[in-house]
Amino acid sequence: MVDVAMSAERLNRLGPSRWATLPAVCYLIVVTQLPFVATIYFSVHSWNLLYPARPFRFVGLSNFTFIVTDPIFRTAIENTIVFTAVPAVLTMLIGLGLALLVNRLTFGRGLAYSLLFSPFLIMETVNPIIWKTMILNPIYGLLNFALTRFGLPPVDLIATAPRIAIIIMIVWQWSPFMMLILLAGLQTVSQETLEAAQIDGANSWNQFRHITLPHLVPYVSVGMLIEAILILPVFGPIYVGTYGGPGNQTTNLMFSVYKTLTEQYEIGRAAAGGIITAIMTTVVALVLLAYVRPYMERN
Amino acid sequence: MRTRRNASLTALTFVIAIVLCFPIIWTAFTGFKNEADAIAVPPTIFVPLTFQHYWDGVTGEYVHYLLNTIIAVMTSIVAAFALGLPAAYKLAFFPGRKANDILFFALSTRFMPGVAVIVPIFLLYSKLGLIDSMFGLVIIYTALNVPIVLWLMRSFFKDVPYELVESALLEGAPHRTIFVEIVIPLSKAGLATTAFLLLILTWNEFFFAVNLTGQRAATLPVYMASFFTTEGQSWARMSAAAILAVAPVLLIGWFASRALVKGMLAGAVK
Repeated sequence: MVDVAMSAERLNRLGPSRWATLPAVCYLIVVTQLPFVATIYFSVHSWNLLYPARPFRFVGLSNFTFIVTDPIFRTAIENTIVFTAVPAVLTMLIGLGLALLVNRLTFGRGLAYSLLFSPFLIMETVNPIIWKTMILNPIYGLLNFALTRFGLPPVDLIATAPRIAIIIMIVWQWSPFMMLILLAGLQTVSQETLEAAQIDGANSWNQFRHITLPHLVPYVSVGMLIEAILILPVFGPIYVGTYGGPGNQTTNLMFSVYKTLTEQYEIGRAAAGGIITAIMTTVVALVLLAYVRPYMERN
Repeated sequence: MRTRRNASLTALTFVIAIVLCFPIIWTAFTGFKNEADAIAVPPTIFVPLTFQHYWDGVTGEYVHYLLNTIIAVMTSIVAAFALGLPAAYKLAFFPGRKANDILFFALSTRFMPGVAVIVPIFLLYSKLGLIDSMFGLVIIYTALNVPIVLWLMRSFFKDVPYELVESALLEGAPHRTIFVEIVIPLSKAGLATTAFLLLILTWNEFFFAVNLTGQRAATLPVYMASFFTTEGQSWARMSAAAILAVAPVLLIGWFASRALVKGMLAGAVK
């Protein structure tokens, strides 16, 4: 071990110059960090492109206070939380179930992967097209055909429970992702430990409860971390599926910033909405990361 | 008893897999129907089928958006590899003290929501005439792809035996030679996996595309969104278009799913 460490030290001195990493880092700074700093700058100013006569002026935090007090933006903040937390939990449960099932397959594993992975490959604007028309359409959709077949009353989810419709779309798309992560976890469960437990007379529930599940905790945490960060700015299903409606029932922060920017041209307010979204993402990331870090460091 | 249970669980797994895939299968099937049959209640299965809608798709404006998407995806992947591979090489073999900082900085840029940067980019692009240009879109997509190249390729490079790099270096081989002749040839599978993943993510990217492009430079996700707004009533036509839009990624995903899974997990777990 000491040898390796020493040779690593020596190699580092022989390593390529900083020109290897500099272009990539600079590129990321220019394309992502500078705009972010500019967003902060715009967020404390009032500026509307539709009214060029109005001065571009410093307004302090009033864009932010507007957002947290305005009922539409408040709904957007609430929906951002709902559309992140609920799918994160549901995909974790569904993904776990799928992973457990796929993990015990003795044949056709490749086919099962391909089928189960498919929803994740569907683009986020095609996903809501499929659900809104083929499945959830109140007149021609398959869901109501099935419901009436079983003597149940038809539903119009997009009109009466649009949030549930959006959540269904997100969960459908992201469950395969969670399945993959948990499958990786399941494949590293020690078979010896499981066999030893079996010999000691533990039934399969107890094996799952006391060996498999604890082993999966870090995978669940990492999966939920990545997923929460990627689902929080969900956009396609809302843009195509409901356009934020009916009213603004399904508007999230991402969508309200889009509308503020492209329909009202309120630069300052859109920027403030962007900053709030970034803060929420960071908080989610930090909380989950604090939870994940012990496991990462142990490895 | 045990085998019986296994068999039924296997059957259950495939039933669930087909149910989850069913919306896609049904959409593909709807694309083959006539418009009247596509919206028939109760849903129809045994009806005359036609290739017309798929044919209209591949001979219509779909092609324009398909080409745009291919250009945006390919250019941004090549650019991201050009920027990211040398960095990944350094981070894998000569990490130094700042390696973790660089990696986490890159990751944080990837995870930043688009709305946190869109306002200034939108304004700047309007000023520079980059709105609705492929070039403008590629700039952003490259930035989205670089962090993934760094993370995944660093972990794939780490699978290359350290001693190979070390001995070549001690014999005085320049980094360029080591990189091109040793590291890259031994990481082909990793390169393919990373390219596949980037292809899927960029192909499906919607937020920046809808904000920064119009008719000229729009990609397939934008095309599908506008198709739905303008022709959402023609289910058969729309279904065919939707399937054509997702088909390339779906086929590659099926073909590569096992390698992809392995590669993504290697990058995530290490």
